Amino acid sequence: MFKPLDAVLHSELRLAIISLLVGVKQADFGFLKEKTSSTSGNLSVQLQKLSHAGYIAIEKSFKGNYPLTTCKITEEGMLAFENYVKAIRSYIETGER
Amino acid sequence: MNEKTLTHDESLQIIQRMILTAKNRITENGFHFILWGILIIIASLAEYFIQKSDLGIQANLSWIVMPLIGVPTALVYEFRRNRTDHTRGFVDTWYKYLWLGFGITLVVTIAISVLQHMSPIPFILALVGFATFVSGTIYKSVPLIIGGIIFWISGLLCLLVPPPEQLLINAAATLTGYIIPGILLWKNSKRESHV
Repeated sequence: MFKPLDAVLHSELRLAIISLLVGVKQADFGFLKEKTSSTSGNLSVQLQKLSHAGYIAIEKSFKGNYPLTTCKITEEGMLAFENYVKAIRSYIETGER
Repeated sequence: MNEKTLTHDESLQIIQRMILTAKNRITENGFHFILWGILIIIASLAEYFIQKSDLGIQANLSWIVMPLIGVPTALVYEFRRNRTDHTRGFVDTWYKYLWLGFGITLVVTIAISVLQHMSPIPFILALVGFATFVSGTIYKSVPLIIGGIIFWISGLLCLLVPPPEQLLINAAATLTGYIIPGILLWKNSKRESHV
């Protein structure tokens, strides 16, 4: 029986964001934008979707006169990511048999 | 990156690529190695020449002046750097604790050796070797790993010479163990920031 894939994570950009956040304590908007090669608009939308799902925590502050957005993965996000990886592995392993 | 249906292999590739990107994020740019390296070399040579020239100046004055210049410079640099880079890796935290632990152990070691009327330099070199070697393994920097080994060997070499000459070994070890790896890390970080 295949485990269903988490629709929130099964998107190229959202999966890339979560995978990056797994490896760091926190990341700012600029870092995520650079590493995912995404546009600011698209990144903002996907961050909001992940935040609404409870997978990431977004903190908005100011750096001088400029807004600063920092993100970190939540425990719920970490669990969802682990389940997603397990599900993907089971699909691939079944396909290889 | 666009919204599109992912195959399972593509999903796995994204995960692997992004985790590797975050893991290989190099934050050590060599600044502190260069700063403290220069200060240690100046302080070592200054104490050596004060001892040899018999100027009547307190020989260990240079070691009192060194942190008075180094600590504020390092703190101002880190404060300014943290204002521009808000991404924090887990490695960065461990790295900070490594050098904090090193700093505390250094103070304790110097106090013990001075109270026991022993030269602190061999102990300091062994300790610096440890912190530099571990830093090298954390950031996969071969020059720092070699630097750590040079510090350890220099600590042993100090046992063969009298204390004033240990200062010259200290300066030479710092040049090869701190300054050279520091410059290489600095050049590497500048090259990466322009990619």
